[in-house]
Amino acid sequence: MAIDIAFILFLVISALDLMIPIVLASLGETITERSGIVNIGLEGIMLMSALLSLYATEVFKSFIMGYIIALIFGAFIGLIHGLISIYFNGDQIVSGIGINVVGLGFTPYMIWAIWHVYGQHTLDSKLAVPRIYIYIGSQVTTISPMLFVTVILVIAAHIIVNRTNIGLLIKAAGENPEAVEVIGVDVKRVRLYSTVVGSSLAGLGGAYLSIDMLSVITKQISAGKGFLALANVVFSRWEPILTIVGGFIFGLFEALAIRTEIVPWVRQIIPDQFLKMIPYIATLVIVAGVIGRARAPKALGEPYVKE
Amino acid sequence: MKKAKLPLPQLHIDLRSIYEKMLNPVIASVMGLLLANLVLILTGYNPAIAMRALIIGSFGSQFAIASTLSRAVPIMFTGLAFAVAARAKLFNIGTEGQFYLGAITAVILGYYIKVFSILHIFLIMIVAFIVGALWALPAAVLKVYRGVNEVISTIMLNWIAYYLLMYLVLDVFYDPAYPYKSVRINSSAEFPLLIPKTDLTYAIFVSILVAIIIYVYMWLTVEGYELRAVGLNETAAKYAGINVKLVTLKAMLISGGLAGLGGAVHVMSLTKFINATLTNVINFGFDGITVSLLGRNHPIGIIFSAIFLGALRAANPVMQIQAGVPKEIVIIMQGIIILFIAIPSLIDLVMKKKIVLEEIEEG
Repeated sequence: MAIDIAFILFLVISALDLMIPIVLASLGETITERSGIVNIGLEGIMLMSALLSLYATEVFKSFIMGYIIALIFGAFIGLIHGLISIYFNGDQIVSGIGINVVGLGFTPYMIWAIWHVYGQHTLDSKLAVPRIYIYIGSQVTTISPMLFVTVILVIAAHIIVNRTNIGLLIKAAGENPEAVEVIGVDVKRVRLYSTVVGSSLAGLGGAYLSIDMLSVITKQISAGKGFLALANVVFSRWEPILTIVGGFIFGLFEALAIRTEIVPWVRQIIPDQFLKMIPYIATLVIVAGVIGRARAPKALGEPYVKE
Repeated sequence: MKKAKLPLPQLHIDLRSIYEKMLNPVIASVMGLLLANLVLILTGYNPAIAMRALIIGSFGSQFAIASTLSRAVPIMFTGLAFAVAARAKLFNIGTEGQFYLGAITAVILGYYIKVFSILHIFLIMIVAFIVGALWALPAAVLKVYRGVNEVISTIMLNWIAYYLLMYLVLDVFYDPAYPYKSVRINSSAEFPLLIPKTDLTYAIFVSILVAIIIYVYMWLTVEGYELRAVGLNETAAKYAGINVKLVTLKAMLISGGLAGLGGAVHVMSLTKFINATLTNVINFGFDGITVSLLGRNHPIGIIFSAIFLGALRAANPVMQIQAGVPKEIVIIMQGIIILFIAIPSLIDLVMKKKIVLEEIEEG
């Protein structure tokens, strides 16, 4: 493996591909957290929607249906999380853990229940999302059209959060919920909608893994991407537009790790596991305030109780 | 806020309050059971067969009971670990990573050291406690001195621990004869079997003993009282002259230590090594969260909830092989139980009547 322009190009394309699920999930979580709700159940949502989207793709013979089902399912989980944590004053962290545990059981259970195989099921490549071929010299690599959707969603979220009244309400619900109530807007409803939208994006991220990037469903397909997305929310300082920057950096480390894993001499110098650790260490450093300071929304994680 | 009173040792048992505290977990468990059965029906399995397998596999024979108890051991530790932090109003999601570190400590010391059995086990337990506490230290320090939310920092530490463990098992302490697993601990580091031809060891007594120690510490010592006071009302505790920072640090370190201890005991009692995919050591931290919540963050409650969850785990093979039901149904059930546990006013929801509920953290 020589380090030349082709290698770097491959790495960048691979990073762009790997960042998609992380960016989608962390973009959603950014919106959710800006409204004051934490949903640490991203991993579970991605795991379950990866399965359901693949199943829907097979049943309807259309990957678009796969994405739609994932979106709806993500929204449904967001609704459950929202009801528990906003309307029943439940604990947001506990609810998020519950979602993750359900996901941990749901996906392998359904793989067995639907296809009667254990652990994994492959999607017919004709049904998977068609990928765009990119030729670099004599070699070829692919990238998903979902990249464009992701970029558009990030820009849209940036505009909505920072330039519109809806965004203002979302941010106010997370910073100063009383003020939202004063102008006659229902804080709980703002938070519920933000949670539902946020989770549905995590659903899209999960679907991307199974019907697009990998064309397979395994019982651990999400492999920590939901938690990486949680890290990216902090890493991107709760700014929608920055999720794409953070996501790309995280994707780059993953791409590097994948390449190091298969090259013995590089592995001797730096094992791939250490490369995979870097995003988490970087996030720790950022929350610690060593490099700049990331500030969470003021009312994040606190249930809103009307006086 | 309760008035600060002297932490006089009290051992009276209030049956009514125990009943009220148990109601929430029991309702959550029943809902979990019902919804899991619904999932079984919807996916074309016979719930009666599945539930029968669940009971036979967990309590149907001496072997089943032994299996249930041995699976209760690690999650009793992680449950206690989570509970100690939770009592100080800290969410130690990091028990998972602290458990890994304790497990690898047991593998390393179990393999390289050779002394007579009791000392060997005891030594490993002490070191594992320290290692687990050290892994919780960054989160504790960040919380106390930089105000960093411990949920975020412990999640990060979990994944750092995960990849560190993977590196150590695959690249450093791998078994040359079997590259798919770590080295195996010496027999002197193994807990002796309690019942022959089962996997139940004397570790069950250690875990129950630790639960009792935590109970005594939390309810019968001044330190434990301070810890709970900080959890109930930080501001009031501060005004009462309690060093909140110190108590928070201590709670987090004890929590991490207990999780590390759990990892070590798990390896010395059940697994003897760590496999390359880490599957025999993962998720015990998360299961501990379930255990702690079901036991209402109370050491005695945790003994029972750990056995309950251990029973679900012990029944896995029987469900899968004899009843033909995917064993993951119990994990779905566990997740649903957590979702219901998250709702503090569960009784109101179910019974549609107003019962004045204590806050979860009160006890």
